[in-house]
Amino acid sequence: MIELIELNKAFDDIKAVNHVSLKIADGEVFGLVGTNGAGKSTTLRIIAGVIKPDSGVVCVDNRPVYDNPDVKKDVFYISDDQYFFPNSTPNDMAGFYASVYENFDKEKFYKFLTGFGLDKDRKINTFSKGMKKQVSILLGLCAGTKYLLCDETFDGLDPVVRQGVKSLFAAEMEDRGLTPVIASHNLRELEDICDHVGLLHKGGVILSEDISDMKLNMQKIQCVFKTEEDEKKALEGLDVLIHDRRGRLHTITVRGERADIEAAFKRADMIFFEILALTLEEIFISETEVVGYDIRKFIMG
Amino acid sequence: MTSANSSWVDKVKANKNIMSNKSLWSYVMVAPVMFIAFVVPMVLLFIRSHHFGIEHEQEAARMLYEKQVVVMHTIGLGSMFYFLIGALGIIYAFTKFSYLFSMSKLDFYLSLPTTSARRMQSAYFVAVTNFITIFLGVEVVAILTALAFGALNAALIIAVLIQTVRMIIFFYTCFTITTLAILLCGTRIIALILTAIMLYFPYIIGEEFHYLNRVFFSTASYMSENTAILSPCNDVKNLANNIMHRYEYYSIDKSFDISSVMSNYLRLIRYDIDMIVTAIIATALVVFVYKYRRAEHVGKTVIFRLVRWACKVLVCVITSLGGMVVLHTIFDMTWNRKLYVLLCIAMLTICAFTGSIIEICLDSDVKSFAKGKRQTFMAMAILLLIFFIYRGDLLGYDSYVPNASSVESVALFNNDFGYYYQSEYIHGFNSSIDWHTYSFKNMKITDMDTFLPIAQKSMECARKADGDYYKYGWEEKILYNLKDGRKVYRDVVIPYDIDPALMDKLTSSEEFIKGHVPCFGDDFFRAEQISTGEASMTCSFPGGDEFTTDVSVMGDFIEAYKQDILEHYKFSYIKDTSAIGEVDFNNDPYTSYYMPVFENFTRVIDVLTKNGLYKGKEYPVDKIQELTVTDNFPGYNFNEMSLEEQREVYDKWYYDGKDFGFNVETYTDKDKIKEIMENCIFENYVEWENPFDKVDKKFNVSFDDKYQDAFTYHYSFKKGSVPKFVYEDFNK
Repeated sequence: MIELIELNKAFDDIKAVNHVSLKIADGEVFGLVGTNGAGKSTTLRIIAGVIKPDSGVVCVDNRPVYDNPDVKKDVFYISDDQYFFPNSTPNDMAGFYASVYENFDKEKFYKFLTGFGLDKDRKINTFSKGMKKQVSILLGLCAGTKYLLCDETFDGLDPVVRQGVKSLFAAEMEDRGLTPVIASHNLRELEDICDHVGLLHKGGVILSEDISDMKLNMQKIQCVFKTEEDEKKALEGLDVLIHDRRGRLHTITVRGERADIEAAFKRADMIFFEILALTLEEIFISETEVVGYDIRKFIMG
Repeated sequence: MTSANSSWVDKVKANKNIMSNKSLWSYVMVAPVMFIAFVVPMVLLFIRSHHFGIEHEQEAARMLYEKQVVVMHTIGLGSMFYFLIGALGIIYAFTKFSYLFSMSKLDFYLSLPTTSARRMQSAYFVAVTNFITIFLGVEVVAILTALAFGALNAALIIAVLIQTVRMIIFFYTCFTITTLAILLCGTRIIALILTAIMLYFPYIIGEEFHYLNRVFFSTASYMSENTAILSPCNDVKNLANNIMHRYEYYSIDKSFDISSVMSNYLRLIRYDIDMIVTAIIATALVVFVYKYRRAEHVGKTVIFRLVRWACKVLVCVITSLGGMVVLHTIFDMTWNRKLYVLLCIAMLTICAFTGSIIEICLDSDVKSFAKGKRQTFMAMAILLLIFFIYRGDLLGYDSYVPNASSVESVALFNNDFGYYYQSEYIHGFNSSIDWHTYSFKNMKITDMDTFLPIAQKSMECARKADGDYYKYGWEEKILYNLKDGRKVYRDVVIPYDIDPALMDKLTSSEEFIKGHVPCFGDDFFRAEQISTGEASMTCSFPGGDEFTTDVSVMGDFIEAYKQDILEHYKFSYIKDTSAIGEVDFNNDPYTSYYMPVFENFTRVIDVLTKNGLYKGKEYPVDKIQELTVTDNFPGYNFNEMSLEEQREVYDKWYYDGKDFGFNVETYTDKDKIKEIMENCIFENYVEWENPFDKVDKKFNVSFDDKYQDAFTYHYSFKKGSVPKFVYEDFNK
C-alpha cells in the first residue's frame, strides 16, 4: 500500500501540494485527478521519490520512498514526458531497464511490442508521440515492479491502443497484483479503468473515494416544478451542489443516495422529473465548483 | 544489486550502469581527439626534426635533443595540450550531469532504484575511469612512439609520468569545479559562466590586485608574482613560458637529465599543490551541495540565494576592478592625482551597470535591471573599501620594510645598469642567462644592518618621488627572500643624498658584487663555454677599437675582470668615476655583454695591453679635424645654479623633451680643439649616475671619428673647466 500523510510541497511561494493525505490500496487502479496545477504530477513525483516533500510522509509498503533504492525497485514511474537515451531503440531501453530492475521481462516486452506493432530496433526519436507513450507504458509494465505510476500517460493514445493498454493493466493486476496509479485530467479516460479516484484541487485533496461510491453519492436531476413553493419543498434539506435553471427546466446536482433524493422530490408536485447518470467528469466539475473552481466563470467571465 | 553486505566499490560498480549509459560515444569521440593531440603532432615533429637534422647536417646529439624537446612539449612537463585536458573535464561534467537541467531526465534518473549519493559516485566513477582509460591508452601509444623514435631517456620518462599525473589531477579538478557549478545552477549557460568564474576568478582577482598595487603604490613592482590561490588555471603562465621560451629551461648538455627535470618540475609544484587543494575543496563542496540540490531546482539560474548573492557581488567587484585597470592603462601616460576621483566614480558606475546586467541575465528579463540593489550596494561598499585601503595605503604597502629576523636574504637590482645586461633568452644552447633577473637569482645579501636602513630611506624617497624618480635618486628593485618562502619585490628610489659609507659597505661586499655582475654567476663566461661558441671580444677605448677571437685572451680577460671588479667595485667609486672604455663580449652572434673598464682596473688593462687590445684612454687630439660645441640651454649659466636647479632644467630637456633652443659653435682651430679636449672627459658614468657635480651638462662636445671612420664621439666639459673662449663665442 502507498500511504501519503499530510504531504506538503512548495516551490518558492507556490504551494503545489498542501496537506495531502491519501491511501492507495494494493491491487486497485488509483486515479489521481485534478485541475491544471492541482499538484497531480508533483504528488506522483513525490511517490516516485523524484521530489522530496517539505513535510509529511510517503510510505510504500510502510517504507519511506525518498532516496531509498529498495523501495524504488518496486516503483516504476512514467512521466508525462518520458526520457529515452539519445538515439536509443526500444531494445536499448529494455536492455538498460533490465540492468536496473532485476525482474524486467524482456521476452514479454518484445511480445508486447510486436502486439502493438512497434519495431524494437527502430530509433525511438523517430516514433510519434503516441508510439513513445506506448513504449514507455510497455517498459513500465515489463519492469516487474509492484507499483506503476503513470503521469498523463493515456494522453495521445488512440482508442484502440488505449483499450489494449487497459487490457494489459487488467492482466498484470490479475497475474501479479500490479497497482497502477494514473494521474490525469482527462476523466473520460479514467472512468472505465479506475477503481478509486483521488481528486486534487489547489494542492489539496477534495475527495478520495471509490468511483462506484462516488457515483452512488451524487445525483443529477432534471425537473420542472409546478410552483416555486414546490421547488422549496423538494430541495429542503438536500446538499445541492449545482443548481442550473433554463426557463422552467431545472438541472440540479445533489449529493446523496438515489433513494433519499427520490423521496425528497416526492414531497413536491412536479411536471417533469428524471434522475440522470453522472459521468466522472460531471462529478469532477461539481466537486471543484463547490470549492470555487467554476470553468464557466473562465469562459463567460 | 546493492545489498548491505557489498563493499562501497561493489555498490558503485553495481550502480555504474545507471550513469554509464551510452558512454561508448566518449571512447569514439575522445580517444581520437587525444590521439590527434598527443600522438600525431609528436610523430609529425619527429619526422620534421629528423629531416631538418639531415638537411642541416646536425650532429646526432643535437638531433636527439630536438626529439627530446618534442617529447617534452607533447606529453612531457611542457605539454602544449594541457588545456585540452581541462576542456575535457568541463565537457565530461556537462555530459554526466546535464540531466540536472532537464525535468524529464530528472524524472528518469531520480526514479531509478539508487540513492543520490550512489548516483553521484557512479557518475564520478564512470567519468574518471573513462577519461583515465582513454588518456593512459593514448599515453602508452605516445610513449611507445617516442621509444620507437629513440627519443626517451629515464629523465623524460619521469617527466612524462609526472605530467600524466598532473593532467589526471587537472582533469579531475576541472571536472569537479564544473560539477559544482552545474549543481549550483539550473541552466546550462549560467552553469558554464559560473564554471568560467570559478576556474578563473582567483587568478583574475590576483592579477587585478597586482595591477592595482602599481596604480596606487609608488613602490609596487611588476616583478611581483600573482600569488593567487585556489586557481587551477594558474599554470597558464608557465604553459605560455614553456611554449615561448622553450630553451630557457632545457638545453642540450644538461637539460634532459633527472636532476634538471626534477628541479624544473619543483618550480611548478606549488601550482600543483594549489590545484590539489582546490580539487579537495571543490569535492567537499560538491558532496555538500549535492545533498541540497533538488529536482525542482531545474530551470532556475542560480539555485541558492546565497550563491546568487555571492556571485553577483564577486562579478561586480571583478568587473569594476577590471574597469579601473583598463582606465588606468588608457590614462597611464597622463596620470595625475585628480584621476583617482575619476577612477573611483568609474569603478562605482561600472559596478552599478554590471549589477543591472547580471540581474537581466539571471532573470532573462530586461525589466529586472533595477533588482538586487542590496547586492550591488554591497559590491560598491567592498569596492570603496578596497579603493580607500589602496588610496590611503592602510595596509602599509608603501612603507613595508620587513624585520631583519624574518628575512633570509635580499637582492638589489639597479635598473640603470640594464644597458650592460642585454636581455637575451635564446643564445644558442649553451647558456640560459636572463640578465634582467640575474640579480634576483644570484644576489643573497644577508647584511641586514646595512641593507635595511638603505631600504627604509629608499622607500621614503620612492613615496616622495611618486614616479618621477630621476629628480630624487636612482631607481632600484629590491627582492626580499623571506624565511617563510615568500618573495617580496619593491621598486625603490635610492636618494642622491644617501650615506655613501653605508652604500659602499653594501656594494663592496662579495655577496653584492657576485650577484650584481653576471660574469661571476653563469657559465656564459666559462672558458669551456667560450671555446665551444663563436665567441669574440671588441675593446672600445678612446684611443681606438680592437677585436679578438682568441679564446685564451678572452679567458684571461674574464679572470682579470673578476678580480678587478671584486677589488674596486663600490658605490662611491663607480658613481664618481667615468669608465675609460668598455669591452663588448660576444659569446655567439646573438648575444653581447658590455663590460665597462675603469682606470684602476689594472689587471684588465694589463691583459688588454699585453695582447694589443688597449689603445689608451685618450683620443688622439691631432686627428680631430673639426669639433662642435653645443649649448643646449642658452640663457642658463650652470655655474651659478645649484645642482638641483641644474638637474631640474636638464631633466626637463632630457626626459620631458622641453626645447630650450640650442646654439652650436664649430671649431677647426687645432689649438682651440686641443684646449677643449684637455678640459673634457669622455662621459661614461655607468652606474649611480649623477654627474652634475662632475661635468657641465650645459654643453655637449662632439666630433666625428674620421680617424677610425666610426661614430660620432660625445664628450663633456669637466665641471668649471669650460674655456673662456667658448663662453665668448656663445655670447657673441
